[in-house]
Amino acid sequence: MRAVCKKAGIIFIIMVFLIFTLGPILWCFIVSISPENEMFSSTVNFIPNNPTFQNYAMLLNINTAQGQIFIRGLVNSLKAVSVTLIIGLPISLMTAYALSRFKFKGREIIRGILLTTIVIPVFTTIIPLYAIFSDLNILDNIFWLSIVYVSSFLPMITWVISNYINGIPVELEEAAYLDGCGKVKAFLLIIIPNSLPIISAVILMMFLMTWNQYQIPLILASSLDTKPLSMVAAEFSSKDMIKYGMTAAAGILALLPPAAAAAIFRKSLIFGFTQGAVKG
Amino acid sequence: MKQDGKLAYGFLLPASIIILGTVFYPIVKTFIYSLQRYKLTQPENKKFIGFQNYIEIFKSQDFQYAFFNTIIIMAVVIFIGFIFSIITAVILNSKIKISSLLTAAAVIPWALPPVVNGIVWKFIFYSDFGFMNKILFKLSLIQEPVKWLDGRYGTLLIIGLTVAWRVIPFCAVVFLANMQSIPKEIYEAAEVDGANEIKKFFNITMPLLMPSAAIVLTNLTMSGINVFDEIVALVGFRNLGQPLLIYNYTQTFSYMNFGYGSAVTYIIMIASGFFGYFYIRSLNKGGGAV
Amino acid sequence: MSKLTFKGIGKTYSGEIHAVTDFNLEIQHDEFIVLVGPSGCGKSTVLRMIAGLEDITEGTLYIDNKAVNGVQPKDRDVVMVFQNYALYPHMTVYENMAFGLKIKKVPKEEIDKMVKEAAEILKISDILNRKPKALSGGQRQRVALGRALVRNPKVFLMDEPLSNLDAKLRINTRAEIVKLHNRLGTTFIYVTHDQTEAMTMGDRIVVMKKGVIQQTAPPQELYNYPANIFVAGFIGSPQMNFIDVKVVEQNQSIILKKDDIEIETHIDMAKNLKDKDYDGKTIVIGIRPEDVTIKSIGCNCDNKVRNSYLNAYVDAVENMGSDKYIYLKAGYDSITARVAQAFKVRLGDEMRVYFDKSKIHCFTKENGQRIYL
Repeated sequence: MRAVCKKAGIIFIIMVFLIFTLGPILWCFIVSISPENEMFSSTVNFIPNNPTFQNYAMLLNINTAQGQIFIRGLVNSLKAVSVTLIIGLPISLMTAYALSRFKFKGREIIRGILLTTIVIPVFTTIIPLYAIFSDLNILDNIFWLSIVYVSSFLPMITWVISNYINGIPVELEEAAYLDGCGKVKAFLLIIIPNSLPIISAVILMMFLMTWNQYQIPLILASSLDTKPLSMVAAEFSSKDMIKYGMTAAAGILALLPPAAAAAIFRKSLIFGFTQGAVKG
Repeated sequence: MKQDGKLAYGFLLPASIIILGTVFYPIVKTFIYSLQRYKLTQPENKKFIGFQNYIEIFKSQDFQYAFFNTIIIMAVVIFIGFIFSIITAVILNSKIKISSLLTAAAVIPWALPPVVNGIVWKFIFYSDFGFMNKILFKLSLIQEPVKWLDGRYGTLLIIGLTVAWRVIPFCAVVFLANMQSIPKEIYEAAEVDGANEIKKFFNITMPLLMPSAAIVLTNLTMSGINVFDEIVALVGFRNLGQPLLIYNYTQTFSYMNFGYGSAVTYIIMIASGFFGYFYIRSLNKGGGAV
Repeated sequence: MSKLTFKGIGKTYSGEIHAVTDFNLEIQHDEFIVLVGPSGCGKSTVLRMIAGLEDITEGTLYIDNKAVNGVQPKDRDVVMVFQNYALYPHMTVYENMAFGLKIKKVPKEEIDKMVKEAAEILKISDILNRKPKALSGGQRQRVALGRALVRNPKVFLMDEPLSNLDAKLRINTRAEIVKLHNRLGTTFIYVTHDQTEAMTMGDRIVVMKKGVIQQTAPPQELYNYPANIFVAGFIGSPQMNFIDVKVVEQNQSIILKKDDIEIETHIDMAKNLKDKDYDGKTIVIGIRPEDVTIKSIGCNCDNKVRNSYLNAYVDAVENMGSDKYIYLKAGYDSITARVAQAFKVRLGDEMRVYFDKSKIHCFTKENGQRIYL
C-alpha cells in the first residue's frame, strides 16, 4: 500500500512539474490552432471543437502578406545565426587559447576585463552604436549586426572555452612542440580536435543567444530586410493582437528551433554552462 | 612555459578590436552623451551641461516610479525563482528513469526567446479569456474575467512570474550540479545517525548548496533588473507599470532624448554592475556554473 | 653525433626559487645518463631545459658544440617520453607515431616504413589502429617510446617513464629500454627517483639534491665511493648505516671510539685520518648492511680485540625470502644488517655487531663530505 502511495505521489509530482514547465507552451499551441470565432467566445472550452492549422499555413505561405513578413524574418534569423557562428566561433577559440596557454604581460588584467564585460547591459553600449551605425549607414546590415551580437556574448563564450582548455593536459602540447609544432600548429592540430565537446556546446549556446536576440535588433535593425524572427513575432503580438491565432502560431514557430535544439542537446548545453565553474 | 609576446597579441587581436569598438568606445561615448543636453530632434542644441541630467533623473517622478517597479519585479523573481529552482533541482536529482526526459522538458523555458516567452504568457493572463481566467471561471471562482494586466501590481507580478519561469531552469541546473557533487557518504552517515529525508534535506543539502546560492541569487537579481523583451510582448511600451529598462528605452528612442537617456542607462549600468560584480566573484570562487 | 655540454646551467623561478644551481656536465655520444634524486631535486627541470620546454636562466647548454639556449623545442632534434605518456587522444597509435614525421613533411611511404619498423621493434604492430584510451598502461608506454623512436633523434629524454607501471611490468620494461639504447646507439638521458632503476640502467648516474649535483659517476663507483652522506644514503637498499664516532690515536694506530667501544680501522684509512689531522675529532662513519656481521652475545668468538663490537638488541626482522634484514638498536643508534636466510634470531635477542673494517666509509660531521680517499 505504501509503495502504491509513494508511486502515486511521484507521478503526481511529475505531472505538476510537466504542467508548469510545458503547460504555457501547450496553451499557446492550443490558441494557435483555434479558429477565430471560438477564441472570442466566452465558453470555457479549453480545446477547440474545430482545430485548424490555417494560421500556420498562412505564416508559411510566401504569397500572403503575413507569410512574406514571417518568412523574411525567419530567413533573417538564420542568416544572423550563420554569420555570427562563422565570425564568433573562430574568434572565441583563438582568444580562449591565448588566455589559457600563452604567457604574456597583462594576461590577468585582460582576463579580468573580459569577465567584467559580461555584465554590461546592452543598453549601455547601444546608444552610441546607433549613432555610429546611422552615420555610416549600416543600420540594416546583417554583417554588422552580427558583429554586435558576437560582442554581446564573446566574453562569456571565451571564458567557458578557456576553462575547458585549462583542463587539457599541457603535456599534449609539449609533445607536439617536440614533434615539430609551433604554437599555432599545436592549436589547430591538437587543441581543437580535443575540444570537440566544448565546441559543440558553444555552437549551441551561440545559436540560442543569437536566435533569441531582441533588444539589439530592435534598435539597430528595424527594416524588413534585417528584422529577425523574434521581432516579427513581437510585432504580430502588438499590432495584430486581434488575430490571436496567428500571433500564437508565430510564437510557436519562433520557439520551435531553440526549444528543440535545447531539448535534444541538453547534455551539451548544460556541459557548456557548467564549464564556467572551473576555477580560474 | 616560455614567453609568447607577439603571437599572443596576434591571437587576441580580433576579439580586442571587436570589444574595443563595440564595448569600450560606446561606454565612454554614452557617458559623454549623458553629460550633454542632446535631443536627436534638435541636434543643433547640443550642449554640455555636466551632471544636470542625473539630477533631473533623480528628481523625476517617472524615474522613481520605474525604479520601484523594478524593485518589485526583482523581489517576485527572487522569491519565486529561488524556491522553485531548488524544488526543480530536487526533482531532477531523483533517480527515476525518466529524469533525463524531465531535464529535457525543464530546459525548454531557458531556451525560448524572451520575447516569445512574453507572448506565451500573454495568452495565459489575457484579460478576456486567457487560460487563467478560463480555469478560474470553470472552477467558479470568478464571475467576470479578471483584467490581470490592467493594473500596476498585477502587471508587475506577472512580469516577475514570467521572468522567473524562464530563469528557473538555469538556476535549477546550477543547484543540481552542486547537489550531485555532494558525496553520498555524508547522507549515509546522517542516515546512520537517524536522520529522515526532511532532516537530511535541511541539515545537509541546504547548507552545502550555499556556494551556488550566491550564483543563483545574483543571476535572479540581474534577470529582474534587465527584463525588457517580455514586457514588450506582454504590455508594449506603455507607462503603467513600466520598469527601468522600458523607461530607458522610451526616453531614449521614443522621445529621442539621447542625453537624458544616456544618463538613465548609466545609472542602470552601475546598479547592474554592482550585482554583476558579485556574480563574477562567485563565479571565480567556483562551485557553480556560469 | 649527440654530445651535450652543460656549463653553469641554472634555473630560477620568479627571481627567488632556485630549482637548479650550477649544473655542470659533459655527456658523450651514446651514453645512458640517469638523473636521480628525491622529489623536487631539479632533475625534471634539467630534462625540460634540454628539451626547450623551460627557459634556461643561467649558463649555456651545448648540443654538439652548438649553443641551444634560445632554440625552440621543435628545432632541437630531441624527443621526450613523458611520465604520463602524453599520447594524442584523438589519434590512433599509427597517427601518434607518424605525427612528428608528418609535420616535418616526410613523404608518406617513408613514414609508413618508419612507423612500421618502430612498431616491430616495440612489438606494437598489432595495435596500430587503436586509440590511446583503448590501451593498457604498458601498451601506452610502448607507444610513447615508439613515437620517440620513429623520429630518430639526437637525444632521447625520458621523464620517469616507468613510474605509472606495476612492479613486474616495470622490471621488464627497464630491460627493454636498455636494449633499445644498445640497439640505437643514441644518447639517452633518463630521469627517475628510483635508485634501483638508476643503478641498473645507467652508464653514469647524476645524483641531485635541491637543484645541486651531488655526484656524477658510474654505478659501481657511486656505490663504493659515495661523495657525501646524501649519496651514500640514497644509493643502496636497505640504506647505509651512519654512526657518529670519535677518532683516537692509540698504539701507533687509529681507532674509532663509540662510548667505550673501540672499532678497528683499516691501515689505509688510519693513515688517511691521521694525515688529515682528524685525531681527536668526531666524524660520521657509514657501513652498508651487507658489510655488517652479527653474532649472538654468548658466542665463543674471536676476541682478539676486546670491545671491537657494538652491543645491540634485535628490534625487527624482515624476511625477504633470499636473505634477511635485521634491524638492531645499539643505544641511540639504529643499525641494519643483512644476513643469510638461514640465520636464526628472535626479537629482543642481544647481539654483537661487527663492521668489516675495509668497508667503512668516513664522512665529516660538519658537511657530510667524504674523507677517506
